Amino acid sequence: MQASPKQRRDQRAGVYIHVPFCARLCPYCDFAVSIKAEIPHRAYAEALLAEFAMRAQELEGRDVRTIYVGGGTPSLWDRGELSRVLDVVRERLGVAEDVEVTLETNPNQVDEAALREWKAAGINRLSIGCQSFQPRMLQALRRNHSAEVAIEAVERALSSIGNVSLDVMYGGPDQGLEEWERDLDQLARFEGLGHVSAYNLTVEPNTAFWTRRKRGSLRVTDEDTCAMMMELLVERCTALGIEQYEVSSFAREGARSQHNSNYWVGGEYLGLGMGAHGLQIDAVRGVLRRNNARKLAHYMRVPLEAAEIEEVSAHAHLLERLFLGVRTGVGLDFDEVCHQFEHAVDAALLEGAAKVLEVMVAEELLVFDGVYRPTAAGFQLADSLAERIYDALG
Amino acid sequence: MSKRIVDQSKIRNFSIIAHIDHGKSTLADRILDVTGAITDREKKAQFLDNMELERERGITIKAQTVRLDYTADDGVTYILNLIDTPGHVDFSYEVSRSLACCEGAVLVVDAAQGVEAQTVANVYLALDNNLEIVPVLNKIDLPAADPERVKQDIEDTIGLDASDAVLCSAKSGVGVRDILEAVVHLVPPPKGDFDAPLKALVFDSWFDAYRGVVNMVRVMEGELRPKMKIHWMATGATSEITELGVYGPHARPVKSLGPGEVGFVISMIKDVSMARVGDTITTVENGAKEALPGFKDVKPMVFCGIFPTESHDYEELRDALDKLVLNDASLTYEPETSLALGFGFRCGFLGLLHMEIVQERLEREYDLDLITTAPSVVYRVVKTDGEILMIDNPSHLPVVTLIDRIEEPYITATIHVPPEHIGPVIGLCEERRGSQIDLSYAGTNRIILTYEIPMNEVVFDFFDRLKSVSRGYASLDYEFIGFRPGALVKLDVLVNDEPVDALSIIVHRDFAYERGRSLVKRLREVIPRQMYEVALQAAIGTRIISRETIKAFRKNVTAKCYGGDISRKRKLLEKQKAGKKRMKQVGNIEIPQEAFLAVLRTDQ
Repeated sequence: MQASPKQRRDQRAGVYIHVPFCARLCPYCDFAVSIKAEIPHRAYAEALLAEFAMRAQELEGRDVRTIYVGGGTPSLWDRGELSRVLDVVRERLGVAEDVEVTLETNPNQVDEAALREWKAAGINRLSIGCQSFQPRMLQALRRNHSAEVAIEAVERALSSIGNVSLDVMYGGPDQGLEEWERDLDQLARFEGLGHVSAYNLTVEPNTAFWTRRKRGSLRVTDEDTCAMMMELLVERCTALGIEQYEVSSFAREGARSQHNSNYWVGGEYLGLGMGAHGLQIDAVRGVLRRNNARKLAHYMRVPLEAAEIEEVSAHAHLLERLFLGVRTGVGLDFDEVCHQFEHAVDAALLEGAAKVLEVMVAEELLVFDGVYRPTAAGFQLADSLAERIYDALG
Repeated sequence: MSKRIVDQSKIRNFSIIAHIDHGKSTLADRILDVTGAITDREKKAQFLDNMELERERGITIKAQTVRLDYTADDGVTYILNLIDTPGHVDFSYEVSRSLACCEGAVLVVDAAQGVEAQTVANVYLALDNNLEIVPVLNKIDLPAADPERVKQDIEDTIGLDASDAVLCSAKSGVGVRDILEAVVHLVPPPKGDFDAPLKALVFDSWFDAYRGVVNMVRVMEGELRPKMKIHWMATGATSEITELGVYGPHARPVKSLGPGEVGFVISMIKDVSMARVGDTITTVENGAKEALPGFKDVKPMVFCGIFPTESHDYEELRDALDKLVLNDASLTYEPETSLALGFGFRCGFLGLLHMEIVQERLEREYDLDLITTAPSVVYRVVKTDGEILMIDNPSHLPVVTLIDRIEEPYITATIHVPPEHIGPVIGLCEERRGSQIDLSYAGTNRIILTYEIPMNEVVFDFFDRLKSVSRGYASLDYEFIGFRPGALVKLDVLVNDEPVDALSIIVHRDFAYERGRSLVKRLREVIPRQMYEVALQAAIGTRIISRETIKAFRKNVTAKCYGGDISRKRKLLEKQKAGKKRMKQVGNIEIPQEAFLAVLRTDQ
């Protein structure tokens, strides 16, 4: 046994590679992005490889089960460079052939050639940022693709790569229930679609939408309507055999995102690239959350330098696990939690947690079948549940 | 027998009476300047010293009383004692004691604005004490200054001859010497028998952490000397003088203070409540037979509950209050238990300003997170068995069947208002159950309104509303006049059927429905949406008179929660938990601080 003194860890881990390039800045997006007339394809790959070379040892002895290339818009990145970086990562970490390798893409880049090359590079899962199939919504979200392009992209990807997820958004500017239903109708038309990520638009600080809302020139859907949109979403997906397994994530049996699921159980992952986050369980220092510089020039100059490394106490990490548990379908299995957090759990805390969760069961926000899992109402109110967990145990 | 050190005929004791912003402190600084009491180099340091002192002395916010040497135009050097007075209506008793130490007062009126109600009240206090009034028009250099109109205003409102009023600009220094000349020639010197038994009037009292209680006194008769054994006639305390001196403005020891002189007395006394403003100091041996008139044991008029948001801060709150009363004999507190808010204190204050100052000091200087309930007045409750209860907390009211009658405190409110705003001001007074006693014109552009109003109706936002309905032109002074029976009922608030004792108020029966309705409406606005539906009800006894519902959240969830979002979310949750310190949990409902203050706000 290699149980560390501070934190027991699973051998499973993931790798996240951030590719920040975008053709334009979406008005709702607060991610780490970089808008460049000339994308430094090769230089960015070199920076990533330099970072990886030094940090690969953080995953020494782990079983890397997923690689996720997110952004930004990674589909804008030169496919040769992508392939080169993935090869190095797989080789160095001894990653098995069949692990989940996801690439995020804008619908505009999903043509036959791209699909062929991505496949050759080992991409076996595609996440397509459609956001909507309604021209008015696409316009309101300032997307740079049409509904037709998005539909074609999904169909092409389904027949080529097969394992496809698509992103849609609801609660957008002036969006009503009917308009949302038309997007849901469109989802039903994709044969073989296994995964949907459906996000309620969140107006984040430091975005154009934030400023516009403050000025009063942006009207977003009210809370009650958003709740109905989510109900409708769950209903339609369930009818398609696509089950809600996280607040915004829906999948057919076997098609859940393994990479994201690892985040939600507090698992380790190595985050590479500008603005990337990572979580490492160090034998001595315990849980470390790291994030890289959010400025491209800075990252490329010193790709090894972390903008921040935060030591997360075992208790804080356990609480994260609990609040994530009430927003995911895998839920909270006390046996698993005890095993994973042996060092941080004691009888009093477990008892306290059980007390809080039992109240939620009584309120039909959770169900208990040996594991505590959110009900449809529980998913809708997961932040309130999280607050109660922190109130009781934080 | 010691010989006189100071020639009484050269002493002039005076105060400055002015409305806030009419330039009192600027003028005081300028007088220090003109008399050479402080050097240019000291001016800055002096200012800082005052700030320090203010902080130490807390609620009786005032500048120092100073003794100044002034060589007048007649070549004689006079001793001027400038005795400062607090400037707020809550402290009118302290003002009256300070004025009792003077033979004269400089009345400063803004040459652009004219006389304000509170100034008038203080002038009357000064006239009651037979003070010679020296009218001064300040800010004459302002473009809006209208000295002739304001002189007329002084004559109309106070009945004082203002034709010889001194024109000055404290800011530029113009006319300051003229004021001092007027003081020297108009204000009579003090009288008092040097050989009579000692009588010294305490007009200020504060606690100095290093030296103990400091009393500012004016000797009326007899003599104060260092090491003398002295006796406070009202409280019965005795002690020995450890320091005797004057502020000029720096503290300077003196060997004697004779009749008419002003200075400080420091003794072994450790508690300001033993050496209170208005008390008479005499000698232990061969002391005076009778104390000076005018001592009052000032009773708090306004009460509120102060609770720590975290119950484990209770002891800290008690310590902080213990320290505050060292300096503030008029603050009272006693333990209180609320079902909704837990353990805290019921605190009594002279008035609303006093209450605000204390709350602010507790939060700022002692770093406490507090929940403060809406202020209340004290009610006199006569029970059916004849027992009389003084109730300062609505939740302590006996059940209706045991009450014969409830009496509430009344005040006389004197309001000065320009004629064009009289309508809404009368409306406000009537709305607050006031009855008009007098309405008189003082000149052509001022009406003096006198109302008797239940204090309950004035305690929260009357002053703010008065200012807003008169566009800032009305001014107010008030005086407690006694208890009168009223048709009063207790209005309870229920949150999800649970009564929240700290939200109960006592209201007049005629207003109960309207108040109940507006109260639950307001609560609906300030209590945030929660996981559960919240029913808010107002009730009199068992009768529900109003109901509002706060709908439950339907959706409250973060959409994206991946890698970096997770630690961001965790930090937010930790912050929210900390933020809840300012909320109180009633059942499973979180009630923010605003709710406890919303109960008495009646505008909108």
